[in-house]
Amino acid sequence: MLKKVSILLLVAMLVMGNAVFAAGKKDAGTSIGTTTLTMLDLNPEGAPFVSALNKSFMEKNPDITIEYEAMNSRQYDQRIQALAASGDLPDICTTQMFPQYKQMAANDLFMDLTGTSIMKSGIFDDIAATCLVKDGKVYGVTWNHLAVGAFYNTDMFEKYNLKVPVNWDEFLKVCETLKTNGITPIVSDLGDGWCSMYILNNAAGNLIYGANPKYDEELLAGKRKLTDPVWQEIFEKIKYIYDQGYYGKNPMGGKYEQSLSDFANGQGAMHIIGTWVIPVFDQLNPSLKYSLFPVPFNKKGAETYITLEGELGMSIAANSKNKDAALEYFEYFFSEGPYKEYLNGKKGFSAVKGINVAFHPSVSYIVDNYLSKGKTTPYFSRNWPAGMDALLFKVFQEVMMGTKSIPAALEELETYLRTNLK
Amino acid sequence: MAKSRRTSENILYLFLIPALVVYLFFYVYPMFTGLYYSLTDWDGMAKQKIFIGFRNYLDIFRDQYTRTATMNSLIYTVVVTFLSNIIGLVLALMLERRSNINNVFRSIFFVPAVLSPVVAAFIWKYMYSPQSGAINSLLRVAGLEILSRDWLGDPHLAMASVMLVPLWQWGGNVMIVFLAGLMNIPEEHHESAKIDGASYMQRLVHITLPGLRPAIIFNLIISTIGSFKTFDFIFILTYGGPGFTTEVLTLQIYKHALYTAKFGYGSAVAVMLTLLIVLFTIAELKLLTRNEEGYL
Repeated sequence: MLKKVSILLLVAMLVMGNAVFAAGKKDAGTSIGTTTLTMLDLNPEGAPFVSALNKSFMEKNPDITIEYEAMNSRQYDQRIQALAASGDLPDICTTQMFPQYKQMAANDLFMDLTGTSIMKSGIFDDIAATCLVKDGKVYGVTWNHLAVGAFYNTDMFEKYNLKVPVNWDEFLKVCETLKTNGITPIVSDLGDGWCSMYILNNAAGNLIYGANPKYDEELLAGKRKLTDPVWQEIFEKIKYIYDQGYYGKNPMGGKYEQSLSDFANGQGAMHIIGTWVIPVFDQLNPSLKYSLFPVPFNKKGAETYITLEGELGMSIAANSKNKDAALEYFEYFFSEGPYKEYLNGKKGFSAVKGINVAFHPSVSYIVDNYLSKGKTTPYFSRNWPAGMDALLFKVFQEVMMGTKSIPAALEELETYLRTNLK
Repeated sequence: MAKSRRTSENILYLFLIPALVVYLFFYVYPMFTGLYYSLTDWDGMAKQKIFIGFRNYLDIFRDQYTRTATMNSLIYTVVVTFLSNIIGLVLALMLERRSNINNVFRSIFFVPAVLSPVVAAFIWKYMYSPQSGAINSLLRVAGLEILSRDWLGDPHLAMASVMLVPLWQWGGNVMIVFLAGLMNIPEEHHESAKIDGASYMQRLVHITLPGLRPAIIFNLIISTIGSFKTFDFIFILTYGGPGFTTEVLTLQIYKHALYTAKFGYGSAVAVMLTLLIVLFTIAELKLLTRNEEGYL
């Protein structure tokens, strides 16, 4: 009998861990005479520049200390959700326009910034001011904007006499020429599902959002569906370049970190990603010459657009005991001197009206041809329900590998959208 | 005399109270909290949780992704449990005899078990990398490039590649338990069998394996529970991909709790996983202790 009880007890102890979701509380960050602001960031690429800005803020405000921590997005999502569940968000945390953050805003986890002096001052452009809005209230502002497209190795393009493509056929010709010459046309990061959203953003921008900025409203109202032919076309086009081997020999084995190094070291001619990687490319290979263009999914003669979106933003925890200090930090961050320093390091596009820095040479082409002409489109997943982007990444991989048909994948996405739309 | 013995026994029980309090607080309380969440529509953040009965459990049966993850978890558990025990048993039988060289090999095979699973997963992630990974590089050097593969990116190979990692890491651990079991089998049994003319295989089947029964039961149960609960290897190596090919239940729990704002549903999947583990463990115990007094 004792043996039975012992074995059952052992089993129970080993399996009980599965049902455990708990997170602890920690002390508020205020001590006598000084204020400690806790700050959590999912911006490892930009962390050195945020750290530098924090340092100058603390020098100017000796009564405020900032405890800053940056991590990659997977770690961050895990951490922030656990902290949100336990009601213990840091004073300042990084937020994005994605649904999980809107859900957090809807649950009153972030401070409503609408009436604060920084919002009343009207310094932010439309993208920054609308990145985290719920029911007309502003819960976060964007640090800077990013553009998404295909970075290309200019030396390789010159060597094979290639010009920047402006329509789908030209893009395919570029890929084929590179492949014929033994060059991997596009370095792959598709093994990390989230990286697929960048080529999808260029595709959706050029085939949907450029011509119809109100597409999201129509989609959410049920007037448009994800099973519509245009989405079929998007998936077909991407699958074509996948099947042609333009992503290289083992595309699903390609990971994000490795892809950055591969592109910087000339292992491939193009990398479809966002402008936040510019400091990383420059660090990995200072002599690399590269530029950026939007992947032109459009037909010959049709307009091409580049994806421009708020990159990351800042929010203040609704239950923060240091809201005044956090707002003081916001004012400092977006003031001219510090913000220019930050933009110069981060190589991001300004979110503040009237404050600009010299652009990195790699983005001159898109600034001249797209940004200055307003030919930009937002992320397609801005208004999707929580968890839908994760499903998209999975079914996208399945479609590319040929284990799922495009109509089946689109049907799954459409079903998820309608089921989870609130 | 009897009274003083009972008093000292009672005092001994008092010493168990701190451990019991910790156990109740950190294991029992969260377990029941998880059970409660599984009956709500909680998104993981909202202040209110609406009681929805068993709707989350019904959704599990309708959710094709959870069904896929359940199937993957079962395949992973059966294969890893079976193979890790076979590997451990073979290693133990090969290294049973005491000698210096066997001691060296025992240490070599046990070394992976002392690594953190996260470290092991990162080592293998590098090894599996299609371009710069050690496996494909070695194949190229050996003139066998034709055998090089996208080990984690190929949907037909991804699960097998992932399963190799726990086999590599825990095979040595299983071996140690079997070695301890082998030491408990009296040498006289083998000597008598040899005198009676029994072959190696006959001694293995009729003396060694029955003598190892407690070690086999222990290893099987621990491997089953560990395999069902596996998370870190898959999280780091594939994150459940490509597609859903390596998606397991623990990853589903994690994603529902943290990404899809369905904490209640994630808790229901966690409860289902717990029940699955308990069922498998009881079945294994029943199967392996059918004719043995004292077990279930």
